[in-house]
Parts: sequence; C-alpha cells; structure tokens
Amino acid sequence: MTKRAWVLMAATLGLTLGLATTPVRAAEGKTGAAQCAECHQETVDRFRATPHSHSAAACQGCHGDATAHIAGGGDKSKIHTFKGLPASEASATCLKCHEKAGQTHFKGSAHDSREVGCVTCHDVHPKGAAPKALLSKPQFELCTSCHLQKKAALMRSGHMPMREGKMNCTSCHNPHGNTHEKQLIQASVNANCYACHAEKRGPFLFEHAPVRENCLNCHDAHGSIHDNLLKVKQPILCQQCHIGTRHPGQLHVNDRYSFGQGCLNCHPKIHGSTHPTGNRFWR
Amino acid sequence: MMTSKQLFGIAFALVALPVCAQAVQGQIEVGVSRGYDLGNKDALGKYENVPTGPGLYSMDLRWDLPSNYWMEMGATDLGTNTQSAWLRGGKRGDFKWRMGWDELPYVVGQNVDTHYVETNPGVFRLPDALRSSMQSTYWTSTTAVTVAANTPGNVALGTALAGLFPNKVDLGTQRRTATGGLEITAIDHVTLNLDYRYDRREGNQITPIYDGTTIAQFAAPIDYKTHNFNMNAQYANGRWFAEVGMDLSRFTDGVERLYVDNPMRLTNVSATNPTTGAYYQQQAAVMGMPTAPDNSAFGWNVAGGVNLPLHHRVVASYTSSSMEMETGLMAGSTIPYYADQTGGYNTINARMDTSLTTLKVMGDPMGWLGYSVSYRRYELKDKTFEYYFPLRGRGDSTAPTADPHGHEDESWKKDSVKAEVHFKPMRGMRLGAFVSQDNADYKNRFAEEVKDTIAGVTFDGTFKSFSVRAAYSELSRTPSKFEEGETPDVAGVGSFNDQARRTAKIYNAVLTYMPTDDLAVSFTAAGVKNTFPDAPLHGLQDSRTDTYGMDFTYSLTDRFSLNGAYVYEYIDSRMISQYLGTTASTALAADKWANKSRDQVDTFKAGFRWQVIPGKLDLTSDFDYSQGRGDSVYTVGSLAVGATHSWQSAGYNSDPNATTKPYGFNMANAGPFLNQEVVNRIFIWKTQATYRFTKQLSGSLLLWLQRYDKKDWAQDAMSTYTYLVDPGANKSIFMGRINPAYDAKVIRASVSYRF
Repeated sequence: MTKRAWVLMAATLGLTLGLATTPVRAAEGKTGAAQCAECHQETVDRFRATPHSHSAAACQGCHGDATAHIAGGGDKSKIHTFKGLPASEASATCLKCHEKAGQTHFKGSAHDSREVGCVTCHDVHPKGAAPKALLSKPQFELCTSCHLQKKAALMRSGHMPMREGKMNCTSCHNPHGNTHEKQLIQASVNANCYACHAEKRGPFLFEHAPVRENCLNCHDAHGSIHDNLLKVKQPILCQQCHIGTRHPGQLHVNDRYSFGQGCLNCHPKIHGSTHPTGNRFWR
Repeated sequence: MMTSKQLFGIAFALVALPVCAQAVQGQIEVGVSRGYDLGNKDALGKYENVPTGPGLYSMDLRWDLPSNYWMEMGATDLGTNTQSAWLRGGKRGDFKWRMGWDELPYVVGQNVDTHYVETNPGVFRLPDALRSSMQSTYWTSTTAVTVAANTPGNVALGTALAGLFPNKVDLGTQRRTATGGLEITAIDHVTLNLDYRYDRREGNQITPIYDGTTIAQFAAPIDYKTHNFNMNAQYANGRWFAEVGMDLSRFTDGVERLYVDNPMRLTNVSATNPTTGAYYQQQAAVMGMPTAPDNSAFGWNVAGGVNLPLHHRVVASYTSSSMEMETGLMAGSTIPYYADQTGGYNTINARMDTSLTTLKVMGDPMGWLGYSVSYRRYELKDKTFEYYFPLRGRGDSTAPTADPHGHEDESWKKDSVKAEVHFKPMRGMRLGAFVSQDNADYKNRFAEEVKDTIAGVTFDGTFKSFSVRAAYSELSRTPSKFEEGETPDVAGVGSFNDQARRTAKIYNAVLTYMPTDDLAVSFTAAGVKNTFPDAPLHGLQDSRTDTYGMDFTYSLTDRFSLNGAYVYEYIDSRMISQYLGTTASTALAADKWANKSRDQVDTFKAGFRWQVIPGKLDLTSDFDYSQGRGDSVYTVGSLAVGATHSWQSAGYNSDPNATTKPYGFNMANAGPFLNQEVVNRIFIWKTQATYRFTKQLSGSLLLWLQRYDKKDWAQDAMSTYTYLVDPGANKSIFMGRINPAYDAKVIRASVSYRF
C-alpha cells in the first residue's frame, strides 16, 4: 500500500472514530411539532427526518399558525394547506426561505411559468430516509418523468454518463431557472461544454465557425447512435454543409472519406487549429 | 490507485467503528462481485467497471453534532476506476463545506491493433521493416511500380503488413475529478459560494495524421489538466435580489506536440502514383502535429432584480468572459518549407471575449393574466491578432503552395426579443402564446445577418384524472444577405444549413392519465420538422425528428407494482449534391446524387417491485433495452458509379465477403442503393433480492445481465492497414479498432448495515 493510501486510511479512521463517539443530537423539541404529532404522527415523523425539522418554525413554517386549526378540532379551513393549490402559489411558501442560491430566478422561470412548482419535484414529508434535496425520485428519474424523450436519448449507445450515475441533469441545467437559454448553467451552450471539455475551448488560430458558435450544430448532447454524439454519421454530417468543389460534393461510400473517422481522417483538427497551415484543419 | 483489497480493508474499518456508536445515521454496503464474459477486460460499456472480489459499493453516513454542526461521508464503488467519495459538513444556518473525489473511465477500445510504438510521450515510431514493406509493395525504385495500386482485390499490401509487428493498445481515458466548496449563509440575506474543481484526464484518443497523401492513425496521448474556480454571492431581501460571481479556468495539456513517423517515407526519395502519374514527395521522416493548446478563461457576472407590486418582476443580468490561448509555432511541424509558411511568427496567441446581456420583465397582475417580455444580446468578439501566412502546405509530403491566408475575424452577435402572454381561464388550465425574434450578425460567415422568427402556443392543464402539457411553434429563418455570389445554391459554395433559409415546425406534448391512485399512464410526442427551401440543388433539404412514447406505473397491490415504457425515435435528413469542378461550369447533371440518412431507435423499459415477505424480503427487477439502427439510402446519377467524378472507383474491393478489409458496397447505376446499416443494441437487466435479517442488517443478491453489440460499416471494416481505400490514398494505416461487444453477466452479493 502506498504512503498516501496509509495517510488517507489513518485520516479516515480517525475521523470516523471521532465522529462515531459523538453523542446523538438531542431529541427534537420544536414548538408546535409535538402538538401536530398528536394527530399527524406519521407525517411529523417523516418531517423530523428532514433538514426542515431543524427550522425553528417547524410545521408552522409552511402551514402557518395552527392555533385556530387545533381549536377548531382539526378544521382544515383554519390552516394553510397545499392540496389543490396551483403550483405557483404552493411555491410561494417555499420561496420565502429559498429565495437565494440556485432558486433566485425561479419566479417566472420556464418551470414556474408552466405550473411546475417546488412540490412537483420535492417531497417535504418523504417516506423513509430523507433523500438529497428532498427529491421525490432520483433526479434522472424525476426529470425524465416529463422529459421522456430525453430518457430514451440517454439510452442510446452514444450518451453522457448519466445512466451510470456519473452525471445528472443539473450538471448542465438549472431547473430552478436563470437568465440563460435552456436554463443552462453557463451563458452559452459552448461555455457549458467547455466546463468539462476545456481542450475544445481554444480559442484557435483558425476557427471552424459553426463549431465556435454552437457545439449542437454537430452533436446531440443527449445521445446518439453514432460515435462522439454526432447527429448524423460521417461523411454526410459534413456534406450537409460542405458541398463545394471537388471532394466535398462527391459521393463517398467506399473511400477514405467514409471509413474510420470519415472527413476527420484528413481534417482531424475540426474543432480548431493552431497550425499556420491549419485553415483546412489538417493539423 | 489502491487495490480493491486495500480499500476493502478501509471499508471494513469504516463499518466496524460506527457499528459500535450510536451517533451515526445512514447505511453502508459491502460485498463481493464477480463478472463473466465482460470482454477483454473488466470494462462494461464506456463508463462502467465491474469490480471483482470484495468491495465497498456504497456508503452514506451522517452525523448530527452538538451546536447544530453536522457531517456526512459517503463513497461508491471504492477500489474501481468508477469510485467516488465525498465528505461534507457544516453548521446549520451558517455554513456548509464539501470535498469530493470522482473517477470516470471512458473506454473506446481494448487491445486495439496498431503498428505504431510510442517511444516517448507523443513520439510514435514505425518498425523499419514495415515501412520498407509498404514501399516495396508499391514500388521498388523511383520509377518502376511493382504492384498496380488500383487492381481490384489487391491484397498485397494487406498481406505484407498483416504480420508485421502489430502492437496492442487500450484506447480511452480516465477522468479524475477533485472538488471542494464552501457555502456561507451566516450573513443575513446573503449567501456566499466558493467552488473549486480540478479535473485530470489521462489516456489516449484515436487520432489520424495526414501528410497530403497518407493517413496514419495512432493513439495520441492525452494529459489534460483543468483547474476551475468559481465564486459567487447572492443577496435577497424583501423585494430586491442580486448576485455577483466570477469564474476562472485554466487548461493545460501535458503533451505539447506529437511526432509521428511518416509511414511512406521512402528510402528512394520519390516515386510516382501508378494511377495518376503524380509525383510523390516523401521527404519528411517525421510528421508533427500540435495538440490542444493551453488556454485560460476568466469571466464575471452580475444579475439583479426587483419584485414590484401586483406581481410584476424585473430581472437584468450581464455576463462577461474572456478566453485566451498562446502557443509556440516553430516546433509545431516538420513540414518542409515550414519556416517559410509561418509568416515570421514564433508564437501565436488568440483571444475571444464574450458577453451576455439580458433584461426580462414579467408579471401576472390579475392572477388569470400574465406576461413576460425579454431581451438578450449574446456577443462574441474575436480579439485575435490578424495573422497572415504567405504559403499553405497540404502536409509533410508536398511543397507548399502560394495560398495567402490568415486568421479571420470570427466575431458575431445575436439580439433576441421575446414576448409571451398567458391566461388561466379556469383553475388548473393555462394557455400561452409567444413570439420571438433573433437577429444574428456575423463578421465572417456567408450570410452577414440571419433572422429567426418564432411564434408558438402552449397549453397546460391539470384536471381531476389527467394532465396535459403541450406546445407548438414555428420557426422561420431568413439570411438577410449573403456575400456577393455566395448563395447556398451557387456552385462551389456550401449550404451552411445553420445559416440557410429554414422553416421549422416544433411540437411536444405530454398527456398523463391517472384514473386511480394506483395507475399512471403518460403519452409523449415531440418533434421538429425542418425544411431548407434554398437548397433545391445542393445541400441539406430537410430534416426531421419525431419521438413517440408511453410509460406507466401500476400498483397491483400494496406489495407489488409494475412499471414500463416504450419510446420510438425517428431522425432523418435528406440532402442532395453533385460533383463540381473547380468552376461551376464543370458541374454535370449526371454526377448528381442524393442521400437520405435515417436513424430509428426503439427503447423499452420494464420493471417491478415486489415485497415478497413484507418487511423481510423484497424483489426488484429492471429491464432496459435500446436498439438503434441507422441507414443511408443513396440515389446516384447515371454516370456516378465508377465515373471520373465519383470516388466509387473500379479499384475498390467491393466484395462484402472478402476476408481482407475493408470491403465496400455494391452500387447500382442510376438507382437507389442502401448503404450498410449502423446497428447497436443495449440490453440491461438487473434483478435484486434483498432480505432483512434485522432492522439494521440486510443482505442482497444482484444478478446483472448486460449485453452490447454494434455493427458499423465505417468501423467494422477497419484493420491495422487499409489498402486501396481509393486511388488517391491507397496506403493508409489505420488502427484495428473493433467495436466493443460483450455479453456480460455480473453476480453481486452484499451486506448492508443501516445505522
């Protein structure tokens, strides 16, 4: 075992030992929750397993003052409930606290404006252990329950490592909205791609204009049956634009323009070149 | 990297200690796994690795500490090249910190044949005997050719090369990512966020190099390092909100240049092409190629807004970014006359600045009526110096030509205006309509300006037992002006379908039906139909994508539920083209050809959840199957096959049963013919039984079947040599990359302890 591995193991064990002997957090004693539990035991138990249980307001943080509700023998009209509320109205309660960080632009966002609210995706009283961000399903499953075509695209042979659990939708998109197109995390499609593919960023001495403008001119980020997420197989992909003189306009099925990497056999620097004769992307 | 046994030791220790404590919550899963028929090695697909032997599959532990402190620790698949681990902590309401480690393989091929040997990082050599064999196959002296290169079925070169020093190499990369971050929420109304990510990719990628006549593929090494740092702050108080941020990114490539033996370097310095009589010059012993240049980027952004009375809201933002690259030139190539081509520059640098400005006003003042109006400007400014080069070389083997060229200004900008209005005629129903216009302005494209106009409607409804979400829009693209003489339909110019006149019809709809609490069924349809009316003679004419799908979940009983889905995707594009000489006057109608490329994908999903013995034994099963198939149908002109202007040469081996590769396709004059298909199938079936011995302890048995196969005419035909690809390049050396296929079976037994 390497020295680094020993250090890692010792540190991990020390940390584990230290934490494992720490007393359990004192039992929750938030005002209101105990009273709510008298009638809503199961719901409160679920709530207590979530980070929200640490809020000083507890149940009343979302449902409002329960005094009249209790006095009225559980009168539902005397308490703020969410059942049947339009999504945007239900979300307003959440946004009282979650107005910063990634949620700053939720109001008026693509989801909000189409009546996809906070509780469409998040479960405030989840069964069992509280999932991360209280998502009602694993993220990939959750997003693709509406975006079914994306689920299918991600099953194609060329795909992002999402079904393997190494990426998720929020690696590229902010479902809570922002000022960018398609709710992308970065300001443009290309800037999003450069976050992981910085070698394509350049800039280059010779640029391939459609590449610089939008990676999606040639690639389907959500999946393809062709190598490298290409939208169309080589050489047809290139020939759909390049129909100029001589070989770009010729039919290629049995030649060096079609086998292997197609056009890129000779033009491998298709994303840009730093070579003085690279204006044709040869080097 | 530690071995799986070493990591298992750590995992065991991690399990043993918390078991004795009461403070920890969460679970830990350890077990043993075995895979069968995984192919050459233990890779399962592009991104998955099957651990063999003992391992820690998942761990997710949490400690709630005094004074509102907390901590989490987790890991997955320790000991494999897909492992990840994280540590998080903080104090509620004050701050959170996080650290993470993640690994991701990208397997392109295993045990791939290559004749090249990487003697030093980035330096690739060929055995002398191989090069000599290639030369003697084609010629023995500067004038005499011993084998006609264009003879149908010529296998001389293949035979000569087949047994010569093939080496094996794995193709792919391993990505390792370390992350760290801090979020501070202690200040009222303010959140501060710091993020750092270090990303390293090592491995290789299949890379061709072209010397003007010869193509040589080799496994170019990759040694990428990227540092990303991000800092931002958000403020929200009452009706006001604002944020400010900055990004810094630095990319470096540990391999600056590639030097590759010229496979056709002649002992005798020249020879003639047997077909064309053209004179070969093969002086360059080694071909040089620059790799991805080191680069950096810096950006900052501000945004802010205000919520006005009557639910009006105004949001504005500005993002600015700058990308820079600098690299040396002189060491970048071995092309003869290179010094004459460089224009006297020893180094070059390039810079681009981008900015995004947005303004959005929105609101729903009456509850049943809402609106939004937005403006966006995205701008890219090319700040690169106007380099000028007097000569252009096609590769190492030919003299440069007088072709003055230089860097061109790639600047462009796009202004977008969008207006949307919606109303809610009844509870649960929303109707919307929108119109937008994008005006793009280019410095260096054939169209100086391109205008997109989009208009559409949306419908959202949630009713008692079903809900509907639907949208339909139409796009009209108009290039306002092409440079003189350069319209898409003029011979010699590409169609540039991202700029050409285009109309598109875009739709999507989801209907979800929930007749009871136990059943939910969704139907989906989505698609785009594009037409390019300016391309009657050349280029892309139309393209289309359609997706239709349904999925359902059904709970038969409290203990048994089913789910399933099917999606059909159809993607096609039609284009037309023809051989054109160096001037439009050489175009012949007989050289016309058309192509229709079509991909179809069927995706199935099914599964069940069964509590066989409630509280004791669960059985789950998930099945996924995707079959993609793509084909290209060509229609050729009467003179196209074997004609001068077609590369369907008589010299090509078109016998699909040929034992030597590649083989080609049989084509018929003036009739449609089908290019061979691309087919790939993915089959994944995981079935897991979980038995709970106690409330804390459970055991699982997982049976995981995964199958993948692919048929790709462009790849399957490749071997480490390719003879007679066409008359112009009859001596290419490719890598013998075989599309990976496997029929894997994985069995995993594990024990999970929940604290």
